[in-house]
Amino acid sequence: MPAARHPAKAAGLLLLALATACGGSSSPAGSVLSGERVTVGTIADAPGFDFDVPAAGFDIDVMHAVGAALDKKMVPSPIFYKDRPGQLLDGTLQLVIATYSITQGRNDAGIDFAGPYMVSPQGLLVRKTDDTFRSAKDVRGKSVCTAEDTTGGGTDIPGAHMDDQQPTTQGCVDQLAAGNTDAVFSDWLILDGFMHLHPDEYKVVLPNVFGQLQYLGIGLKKGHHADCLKLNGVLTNFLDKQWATDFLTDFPYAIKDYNQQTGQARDYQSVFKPTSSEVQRLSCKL
Amino acid sequence: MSEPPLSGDDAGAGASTGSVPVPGVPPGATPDEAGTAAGAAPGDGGSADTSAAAAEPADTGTPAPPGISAGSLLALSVAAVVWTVVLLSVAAVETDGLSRVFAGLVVLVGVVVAVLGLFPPLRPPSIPRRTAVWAVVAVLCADGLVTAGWPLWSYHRANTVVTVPDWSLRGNLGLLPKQSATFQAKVTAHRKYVVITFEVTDTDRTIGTCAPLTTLDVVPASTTRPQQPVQVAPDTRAKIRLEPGQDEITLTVTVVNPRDDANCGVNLQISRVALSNG
Repeated sequence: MPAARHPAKAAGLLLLALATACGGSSSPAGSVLSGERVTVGTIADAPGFDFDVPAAGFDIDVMHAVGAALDKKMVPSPIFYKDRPGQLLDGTLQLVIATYSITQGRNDAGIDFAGPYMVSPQGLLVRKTDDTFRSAKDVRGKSVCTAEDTTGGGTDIPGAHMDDQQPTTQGCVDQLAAGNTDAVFSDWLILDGFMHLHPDEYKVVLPNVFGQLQYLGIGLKKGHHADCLKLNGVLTNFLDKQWATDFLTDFPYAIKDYNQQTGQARDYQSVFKPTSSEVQRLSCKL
Repeated sequence: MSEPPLSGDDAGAGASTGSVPVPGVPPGATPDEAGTAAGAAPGDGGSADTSAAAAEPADTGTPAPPGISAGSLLALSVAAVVWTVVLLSVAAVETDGLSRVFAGLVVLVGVVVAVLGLFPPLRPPSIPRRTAVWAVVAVLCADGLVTAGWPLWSYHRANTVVTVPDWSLRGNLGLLPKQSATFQAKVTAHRKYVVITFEVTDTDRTIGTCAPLTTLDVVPASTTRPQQPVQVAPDTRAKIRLEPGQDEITLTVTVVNPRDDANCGVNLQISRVALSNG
């Protein structure tokens, strides 16, 4: 009877639709790169990466490279470090390109990463007139400021007082200038940038003595594996064709300073440029 | 009037048997041939009377199955007992646990059946000789199958992957690059390799990323000659060659970071240790 067949048809179509929606898709909420515009979280708190008005630096270069490759209008949205995971997870931001370090803990929290696009050791920024920081044990008893919700902020330096946390690295540099702290701990490239903003006031010391190498990537919410792979493809091309030019433009003094501080004679790419193996092993895990 | 002379066939038939047919003796056989054919077995060497008497069963009076004499049954039963006992001995040595119990029970049944065939006085009268003969034959067939299958089973046993239940891993937490943990295990089966599945995780998952980039150098510590380290990439297994007769193994597992990131700490765990030939 025709009337009896309709409910069965409807049920079958519903089942088919459910199966299509549930199976084979890595983007339960759709692609983060589907629209014409992509909102990108940025932090203008790192000379060389993202500083000044209008914003300029390596993070901005990466953002533009992604926009050009994917033919999207990238809309920067300034945020604080503490906002990065929450605004990705609630969909306010589609991407974060803001000196965002790849960590297993952030993966656990639902943040996936494309990249890395930069590798940086960590170090200490101190007053130029302070010659007390010569070795690891000299940090004992000193006050060290870090930016909250960063990997620097989560690192424990043995014997140091690390209670002072500021919303930004600039906030810690202001504390250093005011004499409220003895040192600022963060990514070496960021601190080298602050040093060159104020070369007569600060210096970077003890590179690679505390903390770990930081692998900076493009953050996105988990569950968008296809988008992550697409971003990875863009970054791989960027690393191959554009990375060196942009690095030397944004960090012109970095390798000279690093070699001077470490007593080494290394090439800038061997220190700061990610390898293809690192991109393969660290990216798009979710 | 006299009887007509007998024809050749009739004369021969009448002259050889005296008109009483004997089982197993073809018509027209000579007396010697009749004596040989009346139940003699190879090696038997008996006369016609002995052979004829041997063809008669002593217990029930039931005629023996065609083609098998008491001597043949004796020989087959001895072979069945000996063969079955040999298999029992091998099973006792080569198997253990339930396999040994099962093999022993099967062999015991085979021995009993073979003995009943061997010694008719032990056989209950209700069991016909025919049944005993076929049971002995069945035991021999089973022995044959087991013997033929034993090499295959032994090859399979010698090449299966054996999980090692007891092992130790010391000094495996908070390892920095160039630091080492120590692995030890008993080699519980003869195999060419020990295969270890390592799991590497960050000591601190919040301040950086180390585990995905870490490789391991695995070196045997208990060998007679120095060996190159086996390099284990993330999420792969370490396969270490064992020396012949080696009954335990000690390995030094060293953490390697490609950028020598001095503070990149990892924890090592092991999810499986196995012995294999491939």
